[in-house]
Amino acid sequence: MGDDLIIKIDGLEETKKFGIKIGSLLSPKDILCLNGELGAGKTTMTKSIGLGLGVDDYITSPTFALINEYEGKYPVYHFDVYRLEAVDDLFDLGFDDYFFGNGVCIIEWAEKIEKLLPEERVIINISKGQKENERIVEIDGFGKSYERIVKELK
Amino acid sequence: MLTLAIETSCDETSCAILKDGREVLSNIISSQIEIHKEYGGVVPEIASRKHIENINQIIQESLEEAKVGFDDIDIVGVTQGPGLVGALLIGISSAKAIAYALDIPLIGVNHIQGHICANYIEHKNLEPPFICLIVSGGHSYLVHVKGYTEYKLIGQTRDDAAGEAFDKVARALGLPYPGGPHIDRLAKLGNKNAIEFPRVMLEKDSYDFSFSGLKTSVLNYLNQMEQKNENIVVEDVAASFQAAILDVLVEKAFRLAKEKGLNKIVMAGGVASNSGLRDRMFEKGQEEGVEIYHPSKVLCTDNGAMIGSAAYFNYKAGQKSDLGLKVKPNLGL
Amino acid sequence: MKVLSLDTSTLMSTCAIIEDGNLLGEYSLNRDMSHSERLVPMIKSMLAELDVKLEDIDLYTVAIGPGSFTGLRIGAATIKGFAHVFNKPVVGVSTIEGLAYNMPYNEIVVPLLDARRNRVFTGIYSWEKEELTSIEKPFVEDIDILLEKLESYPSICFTGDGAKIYREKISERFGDRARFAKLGQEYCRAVSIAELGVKKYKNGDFQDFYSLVPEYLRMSQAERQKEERAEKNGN
Repeated sequence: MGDDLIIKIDGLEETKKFGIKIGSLLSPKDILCLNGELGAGKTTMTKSIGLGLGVDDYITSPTFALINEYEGKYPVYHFDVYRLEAVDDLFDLGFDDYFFGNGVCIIEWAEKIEKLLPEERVIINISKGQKENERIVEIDGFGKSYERIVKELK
Repeated sequence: MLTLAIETSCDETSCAILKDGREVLSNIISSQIEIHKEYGGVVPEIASRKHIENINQIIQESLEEAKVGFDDIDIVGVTQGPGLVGALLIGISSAKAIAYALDIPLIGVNHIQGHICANYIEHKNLEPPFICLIVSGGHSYLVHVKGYTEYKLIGQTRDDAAGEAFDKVARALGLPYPGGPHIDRLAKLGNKNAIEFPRVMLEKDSYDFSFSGLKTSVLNYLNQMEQKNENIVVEDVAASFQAAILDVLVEKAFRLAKEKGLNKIVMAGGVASNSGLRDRMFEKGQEEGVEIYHPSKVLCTDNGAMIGSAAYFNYKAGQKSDLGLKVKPNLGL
Repeated sequence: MKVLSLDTSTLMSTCAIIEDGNLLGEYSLNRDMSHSERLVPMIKSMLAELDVKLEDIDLYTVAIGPGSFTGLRIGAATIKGFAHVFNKPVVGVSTIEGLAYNMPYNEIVVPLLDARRNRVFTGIYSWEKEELTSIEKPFVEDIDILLEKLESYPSICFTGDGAKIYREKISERFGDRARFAKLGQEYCRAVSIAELGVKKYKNGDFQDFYSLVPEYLRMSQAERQKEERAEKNGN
């Protein structure tokens, strides 16, 4: 594991700017894991990341769809795997076509399918801060993309 | 004119035979709800596997029930999108094969248009123009339907679809998937004024929807009650939440009808089965002299007949697809 | 007997017609997105060129996997559609067997299809007289474990996209013992699916268009755990 990077974000504007920045740094085959409790703001962050990736559409949480597909600069695959935690047959879900495909994968609740995830990925953990719109973002991960993003953010 | 129509956009495999766009000779639907229940919702890969297992059986049943053979079919309709890519491709591949084999026209159909056309089947005398409120798990649209193949999208959701909000709140209340019908059932037994949930109308003239604020409000309420160790009356939560959604849907639909000078509002999509919504719409319709239409329960869910109807009207208007029809998982109106 | 065959297991979209031991024609296009859009137009074009009508086809054969889940289903749905309209029998042929069939040599033939995460879809075959015989039927395996397994063979022909991906690794381990397919044999070919399909049909091994489905070949985690437990118990 590389060194964790911890960033404190204050307010919705900063959250949006941060998300857009992350989005602009992602490229095809990148996998971004978004973890955090209910209400931490994973989907909100995804919307800004989507903007950074050039996605025009309204981004909504794929709680029941599992995967929403968008077209930005690249194909963007937005996952919400919350409900797969208790599932046995994870490997047959056909996710590999996305993980190893030509787009960017953004996975909310990624920790629930830890065993399925490719090694090289960027992991963002969002937690609530002291104040209402304050968020603490921890960035971790493996691989070239992760290293590149951390370098840029510093 | 006989249409054979295939619908596989999500977790229902369906094939229907229609006569002239409104008369249903058969509408065979195989639902996978039981299979996906374990996963709390549809899993695209599993849906696709089930479609390929079922599709030809479903097609055969639709022909037998309609008492027709392949040679009697004049056109083939199929859902082109929106929906799950893998699932849509099964229907599209089958439809292409049949259209080519029989050397008859293939018509790719927009699933959302299909929902609108379900009403032409249900109500033989219904003709455009009218306002259509399309609400389902995946979509929330307010549409000005000008003609059989002419639509103007006026309002849509900026975050969760109405049906999705129902399912999420239902899950938070511990109700099984799909949760919408359970909320509807419980709401009848509860007090809709028990809890004040927000009615998010957005900007003054907007016809768009936004349900995630309401959803968050309900989740916060449930959290607070838990922390205070207070008893949650599920029926009241269901009733109050449902009232909040319905207020928004009804207000906007009627306002749009008034603005366009139309006295017909048509409902479509899975949430159009919601008895609370139907009651509210009919009630206000009576007050304001507006006719309200909705499909029967079966036609509200995903089914081939509605696709057949849309295919027929599109074909009559001169639309035809070629055998290179692309799947369009994000197709909008 | 006219036979139409399809293979959409990989990016290579391929269709062919054979008749009584002769190849009438074969179209093969290696292109992203070929299957979902261009498959039926491709078949139509080939039939038109050959002046053959779909209703003249007596038997339909299709590659049933392993390979791309989506690709396999597109091919299966298309073939089932044709067979349904004309009420004809269908034969499903293993994609791996089809690849092996492209290589009639006096060696062990091992097709390799990339299954990601360092794994391959594969099978081990040899030729007995004029028949392709399986030493090990198609399975999915980690590439290093597979290569270890193949150590005992004096001479092996590798084919499939996996052979391209792991060429260096294979050459390092096997040196001159390993031979690699050329472009002509390395990809899925509908003509092989057709020939294998006819053989199976003549042996009474065919199905109806209701029951034909792809064989995905990936073990689900539950099955894997079951197998691991069985191994531990010394089965």
